[in-house]
Amino acid sequence: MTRHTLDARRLLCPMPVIRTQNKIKSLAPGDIVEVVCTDPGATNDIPAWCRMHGHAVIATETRSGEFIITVEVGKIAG
Amino acid sequence: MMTLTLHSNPTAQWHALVNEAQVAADCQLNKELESYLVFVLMRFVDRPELAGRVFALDFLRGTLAIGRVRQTRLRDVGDQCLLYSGLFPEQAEHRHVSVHYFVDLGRTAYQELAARLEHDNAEIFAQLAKGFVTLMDVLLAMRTLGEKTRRLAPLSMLELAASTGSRYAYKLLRPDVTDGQADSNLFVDSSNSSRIKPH
Repeated sequence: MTRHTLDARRLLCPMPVIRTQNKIKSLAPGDIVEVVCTDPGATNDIPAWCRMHGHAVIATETRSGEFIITVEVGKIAG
Repeated sequence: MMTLTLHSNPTAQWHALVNEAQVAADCQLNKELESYLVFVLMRFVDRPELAGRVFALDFLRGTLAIGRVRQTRLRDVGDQCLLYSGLFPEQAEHRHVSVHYFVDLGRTAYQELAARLEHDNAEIFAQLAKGFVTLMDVLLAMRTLGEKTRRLAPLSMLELAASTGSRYAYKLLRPDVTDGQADSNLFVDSSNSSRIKPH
């Protein structure tokens, strides 16, 4: 299991989801990716996309105007 | 007979549909535009309130707003105009405008974003503005996949081809002509006439 960070700051939805999808394609099941974004819409879009694709959102936090969504990659990446 | 396309998740389903439409429209989007289109379709598929929007007002409100609100509103205008021009072009007639109106408004919204945003964001919106008609063509092809009766009437198709430079509309009007042989006099360089004109 490896930990990754994805910088999606300043990107408008749906770009954070697209970048998350592209990142997860290159990861293995069980890997963790922290998506850092500034568009509040991403806090709905990324968890919804994860639910559809079998990935788990294990934490969502806000730090000085930035949203950090931590995703554990599921069995079927992509 | 209609073909059912089944994939493991909704995003893959939409990607498959967009790919099929690209083949039908005889065009190829780059991966980023393709993904953007997929997520726009997914975002608006369960939002029937889209039908009641007055895009010109939304656009004006967007240009008058500041910061993130401005960006979100202009993006929504661009996305919604794209869906209207490609999936619901007959709505233009109901609203007493031409499809070109949605193309101009949507493209202008994307151009405004591209001009004011930074690096990555600017790049995708510049691509969306430049490729607006191609994206519209993909959606036009999508709405008629397996159901040719949903094609626009020939006169509407001709107007669409002439006013926006839609290759797909031209292809349907002249199926015997390949893309390279298209009559260049029929097309306008709509990328140079992207500001909104009164209708």
